[in-house]
Amino acid sequence: MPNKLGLPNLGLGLGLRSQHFDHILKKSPEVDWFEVISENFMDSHGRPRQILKQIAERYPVVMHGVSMSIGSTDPLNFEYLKSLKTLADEVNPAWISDHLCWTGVLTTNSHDLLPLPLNDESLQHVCDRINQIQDYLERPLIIENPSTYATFKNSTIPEWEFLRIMTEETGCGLLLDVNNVFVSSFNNDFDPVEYINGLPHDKIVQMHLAGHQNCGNYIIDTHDREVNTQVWKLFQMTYQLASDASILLEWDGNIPAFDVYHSELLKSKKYMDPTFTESAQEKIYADQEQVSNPLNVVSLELTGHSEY
Amino acid sequence: MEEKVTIPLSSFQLWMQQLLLDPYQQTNVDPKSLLQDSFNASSLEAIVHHSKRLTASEHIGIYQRSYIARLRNCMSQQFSALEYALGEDIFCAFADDYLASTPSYNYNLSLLGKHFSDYLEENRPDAAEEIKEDWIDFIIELAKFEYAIGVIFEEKAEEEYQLADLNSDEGKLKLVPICELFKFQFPVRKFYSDFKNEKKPSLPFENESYCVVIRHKFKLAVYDIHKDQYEFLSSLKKGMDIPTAKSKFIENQKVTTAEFENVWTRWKARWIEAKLFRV
Ligand SMILES: [Fe+2]
Repeated sequence: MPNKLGLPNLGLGLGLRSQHFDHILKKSPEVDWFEVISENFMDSHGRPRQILKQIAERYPVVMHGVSMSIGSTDPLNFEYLKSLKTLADEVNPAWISDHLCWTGVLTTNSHDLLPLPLNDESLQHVCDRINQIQDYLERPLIIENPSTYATFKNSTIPEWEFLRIMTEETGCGLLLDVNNVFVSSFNNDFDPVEYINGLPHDKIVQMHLAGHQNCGNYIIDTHDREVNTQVWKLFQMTYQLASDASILLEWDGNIPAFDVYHSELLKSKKYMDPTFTESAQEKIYADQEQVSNPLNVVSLELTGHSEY
Repeated sequence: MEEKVTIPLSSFQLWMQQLLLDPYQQTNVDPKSLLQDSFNASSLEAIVHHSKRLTASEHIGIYQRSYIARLRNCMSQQFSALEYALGEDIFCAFADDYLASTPSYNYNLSLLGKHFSDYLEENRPDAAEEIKEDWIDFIIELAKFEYAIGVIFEEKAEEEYQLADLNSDEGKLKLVPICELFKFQFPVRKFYSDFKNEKKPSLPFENESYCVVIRHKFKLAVYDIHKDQYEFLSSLKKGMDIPTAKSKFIENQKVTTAEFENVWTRWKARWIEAKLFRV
């Protein structure tokens, strides 16, 4: 059934990871849809792209990028957009998403999703660029709230308000990462419930869930473990407000076997029930800092062998 | 009451990027100098909020650490055999220094290590010594090979072609579209494969070696070859057809046609089996 922006509710999806390629092709597991990291396939003409084409024939696919750099003051990278569009023509994604962030200036790429000061200048800048990108891609863009580790004194607009105005000005949709809201709220002392309540719920096309790492004084968005109970609770609340959004579980580090990954996703069904309560208490411990996502590297296998 | 800070977005981004790329100010660019046109932005605390648990510089510190950790991580994935050969600490020192001198300019992370072997060559620790150290030559060769493997894996090429078989017309045989030849001063291929097969190889001694890497149906295969085979395949790689490459080989190696035909029959059978030839 089409929802916001005429986009379908795809159901419960998983990130497509190279470790699971063979399993998916052989077993055709009953997953509703897959999200792919666009940059892993855009400029690759090897096995991963070949496999993506096969998977896109069997499952709905969404393209999720990390390099659009919507908030950068550099000119838009049309070489990037061209390659993105070419891939989109090939796999026909249900939509294309990226983040409210910038990745670098002076053509440098930090490969990180860097935070923006949120004020009138950045809002205007971001909206102008989303409009240009949507015109070029000929489709609405879906924008994700990033996990943030700092806020700035020249910010004058709360992030949820910024996102709301951005959707109104450009017609873009939202990818609400519930874990990112939790991570950012912990790191920057805001109330995640107020954040979620303040969003335009009718613009939430997709949600992300993921695991994070609590380092004691701060939280890193690592995508390397199960979803934290508090994040599940935040999801439970959010789902009541945006129940026709497609749900996706991200997992990028310490990637488990496909079935483990899938069963973690299926836990979301329990939390769609507003009356569900988790009995077990989760142990929260601080450990050594890991690298935060995004890490868009495809593992390369050399099947060759043999000597003469 | 806090004074209001106004910084144009472009200055803010130059400032923050400088903090990430050069956290210890080794380039002598003071990030503050990038904010010259900004009012009242003299210190990090004037720009970044502190929180209940962290100071402003601790907040920025998370980005500074994750910037370098992420790219170092990618380098170690791209150069896993090299990292093993050098040991984690030395590899990390080289990678950090390389990344500081060659930041990424492309969204495509597979290009991150493109200039790493050049960097190693230009910054070899024995640059000032008259007698060069063997192991450095080895790691440069290994870095080139590992990067090349990644390129071959991703490369765009014709995929719909017919492989040759023993009955194919010899005059029409061509190398498959992705077929790369390598010549090394060290047994780089063996070291690389041993590492990938978890055999924990030790640093090898100098010993010339050759290999060919092909990609067929998106799968890579690597085969050791010897010097003569390398010479012969190099002729084909340059576009020569097989009869011409054979004549050239016979002439250069000063062997009789009968002697070479004997060897060629075996080479041809192996290479057809190894999917080196198409029609
Ligand atoms: Fe996310």
